[in-house]
Amino acid sequence: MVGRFASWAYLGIALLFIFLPVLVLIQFSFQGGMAPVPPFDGPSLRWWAKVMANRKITDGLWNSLLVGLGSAFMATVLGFLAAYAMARKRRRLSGLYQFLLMAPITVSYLIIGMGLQIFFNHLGIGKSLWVIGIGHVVINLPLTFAILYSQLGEHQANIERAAYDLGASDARVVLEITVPMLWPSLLAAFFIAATLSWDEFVIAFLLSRFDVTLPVVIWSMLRSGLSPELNAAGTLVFGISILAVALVELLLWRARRNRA
Amino acid sequence: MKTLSLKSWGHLPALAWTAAFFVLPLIAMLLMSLSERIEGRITLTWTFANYQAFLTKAEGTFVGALINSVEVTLLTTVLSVLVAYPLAYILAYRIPRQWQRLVLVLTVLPFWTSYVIRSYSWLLVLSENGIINQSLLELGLLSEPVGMGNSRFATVLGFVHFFAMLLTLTIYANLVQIKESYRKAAADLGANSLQTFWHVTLPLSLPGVAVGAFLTFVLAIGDYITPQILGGSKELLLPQAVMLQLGRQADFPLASALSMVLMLVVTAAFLLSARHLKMGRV
Amino acid sequence: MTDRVEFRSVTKEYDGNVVVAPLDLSIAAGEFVVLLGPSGSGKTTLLNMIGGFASPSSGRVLIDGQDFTDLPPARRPTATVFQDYALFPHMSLAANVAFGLRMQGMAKPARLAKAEAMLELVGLKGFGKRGVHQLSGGQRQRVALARAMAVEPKVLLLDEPLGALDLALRRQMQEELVRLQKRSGATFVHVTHDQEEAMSIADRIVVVNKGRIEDMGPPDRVYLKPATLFAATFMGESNVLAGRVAAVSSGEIQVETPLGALVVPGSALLASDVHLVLRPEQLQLTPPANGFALGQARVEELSFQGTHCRCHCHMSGQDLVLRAPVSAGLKTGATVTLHAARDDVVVLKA
Repeated sequence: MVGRFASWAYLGIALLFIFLPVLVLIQFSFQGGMAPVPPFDGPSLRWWAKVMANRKITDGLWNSLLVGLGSAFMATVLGFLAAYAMARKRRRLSGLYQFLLMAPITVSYLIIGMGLQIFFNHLGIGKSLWVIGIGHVVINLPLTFAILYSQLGEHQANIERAAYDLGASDARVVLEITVPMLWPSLLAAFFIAATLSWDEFVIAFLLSRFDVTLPVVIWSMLRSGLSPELNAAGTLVFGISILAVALVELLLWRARRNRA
Repeated sequence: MKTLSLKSWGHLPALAWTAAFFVLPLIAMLLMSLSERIEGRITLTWTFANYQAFLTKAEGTFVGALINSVEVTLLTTVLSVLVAYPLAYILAYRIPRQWQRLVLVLTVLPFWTSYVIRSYSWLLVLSENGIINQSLLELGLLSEPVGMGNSRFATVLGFVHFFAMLLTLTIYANLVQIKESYRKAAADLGANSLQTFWHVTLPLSLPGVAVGAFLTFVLAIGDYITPQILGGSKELLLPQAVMLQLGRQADFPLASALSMVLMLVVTAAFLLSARHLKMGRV
Repeated sequence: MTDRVEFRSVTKEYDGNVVVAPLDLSIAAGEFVVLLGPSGSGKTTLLNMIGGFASPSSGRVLIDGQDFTDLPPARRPTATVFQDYALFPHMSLAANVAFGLRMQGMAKPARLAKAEAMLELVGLKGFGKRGVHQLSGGQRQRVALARAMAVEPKVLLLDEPLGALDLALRRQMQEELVRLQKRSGATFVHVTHDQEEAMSIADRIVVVNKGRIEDMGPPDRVYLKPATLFAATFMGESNVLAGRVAAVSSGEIQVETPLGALVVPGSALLASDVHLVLRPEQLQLTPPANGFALGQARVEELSFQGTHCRCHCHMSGQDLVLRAPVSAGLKTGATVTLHAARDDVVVLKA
């Protein structure tokens, strides 16, 4: 439908649009002066040095990783258990259960965060990384559930049946057949949940007090005034994300290569 | 022995989690929206005062915020689809199959960067010394730099940047599932490439568009970061109004009422598009 | 001697739909039985009831005289070869084949040796270390077979295992299945909708339709003397003449058909409706011994089939299909006289 030249031209313009802010950000993380905006008077590493020495940022990074990995693990486990039970056994209330499990995807993070804030406040439970993690499991559970549920079709059921037929117990089928068979999808679900959690702002903002995650740290830096340090911090986060994406793509690529 | 099988209980932990940390908090928020502050203490009085306040208080600022939110979100959704669809199409059908995954990952790489940073970095681009102003000045399209931040334009731009990537992913996932034989059959039956696209590819790709557009709508209408950073406080969107009540005033009942209104809008959008949504496909 | 597999008044209903009507069936040890029927006939449900993947709504399923009705697949002396092969995608071929032995607790060296022997048996010697993704459809089929046979089941269940293979490969695998069955001495129960496949491999064919057994017996018997009209039309092609019994004498009946009155061997009630069935190759152009003439027919359509000509004829408002020798040199529009041997005619109650 689209001519060859038009295709490449569109791809080029779209990539420019998508990468423009990121490239500008990276460039101005090497800014020399105090202004975070053009004109560029670098390159210099002074703002990188400042970021690396900023305890708030390194603490936030660590907290974000902790919450991201922890909540993603929880969401993947809960999502897998639910997807398995829902895909392998029909129930009278299956429709209702599925609706409930998917429902959080239709509600804004802001509302989920506020609801949890009111709820935990009422129960007398204070704000903490734990509470943020709980919220992130809520928003990621529909995603992990949907991803894994879609991978538990009739063909996979037959593979499990073959294992039962050859004498495997329920537990062995799940541990030795289903989980290894779904490994690439489990990995993908975990990764998506982890990246969404590690970067989530509003729930983390509403549910944190002393221990804050990286997006909240960056937000408070932003509020206290623009500086090239922000650019360096943003570039750092971008770099870590790229490393994570590359790592997971590599893992997924290897896992899929070994499949039919 | 059968009762212990994972098949029979596996869904229960997730359901319990959702009930405890999603349903109950929403109920708590609903009750909060029906409460009022009496002498600094929040008491459930089953009052609709907060909803009345939404309609009348501050000379209709809240209703205005709702209208702003819906306008910005709809504009964002439509523009994002228009930007993302050709991109997904080119990725799915113009890039050789063995390179597709790599190009896709590269194309949406900024999707994985910090959401806060991404919004902020547009400020750099849009600033008076920024690349856009400089380019327009050099081309002679502008005689003096224009401040493009702190505007609805900037908010929508920031949104479209993010959600076009999300939509590219969902539409691409849908497009690659459409069998090539359908397009071959259409061509074989005499359709030109435009007719094939219009009558075959486009209708079959609508589920991917619907899922992505719905996610865009939900995430954009509830987002606080992008309008706060790029739109500033010249015009208020509903999430900004909610955060304002939470932050400065700690008026939980009013903030809850505003949130319930926000949720109602999303529910309406969900019901309108529910027919086309098949989450499992993406 | 007890039967290897026995269905005793088994029924199956899904949401009020009867999938299997009350049904009895015995399968002897060492038999190669094919359940033949169209899709939705209930044949796969019967297979699943032996394997333990479906349980009957009522009735019992016995294996070697023991009641297995309520036992799960793992505790049955059966193994299934699935239609989509269901190979474990994350395991090597050797690990796939050895899986059942591992579940039985066999030590690693022993089970790997056995797996290698099984792979050799199905013609995949030295493939043990490969992954499932490296195999063609036919090779996957063989691995699925080796995996199921490795546990030495008393009954091997095959659910349309050759459906996804091309014709040449299917023929080859049919021969190999028969060879493997004779060698192992196991009982094979094979489900298919392909009547040619059924005839070429079965010791006994069970024709299933709408949850009932229409006919069962050795392939030649079922083909030449089908018990029901369904069996006659599903197992190969048949010419069916509807008629009414006009006269009955000892061992013979006279039937009024669209082609006139025909006297054929058989017995039926006077004035009852019957169907006379003749296979296309049983319609002849020259009078056979102890035959009769059916009358003159006009040749409507001819197609060359290599060994014979397939010929559509029209006679007194009745369409007939016959297989004429190529040497007969028939032409469209020609008129021929058709004959049949009396003993070839099958009389079925309408």
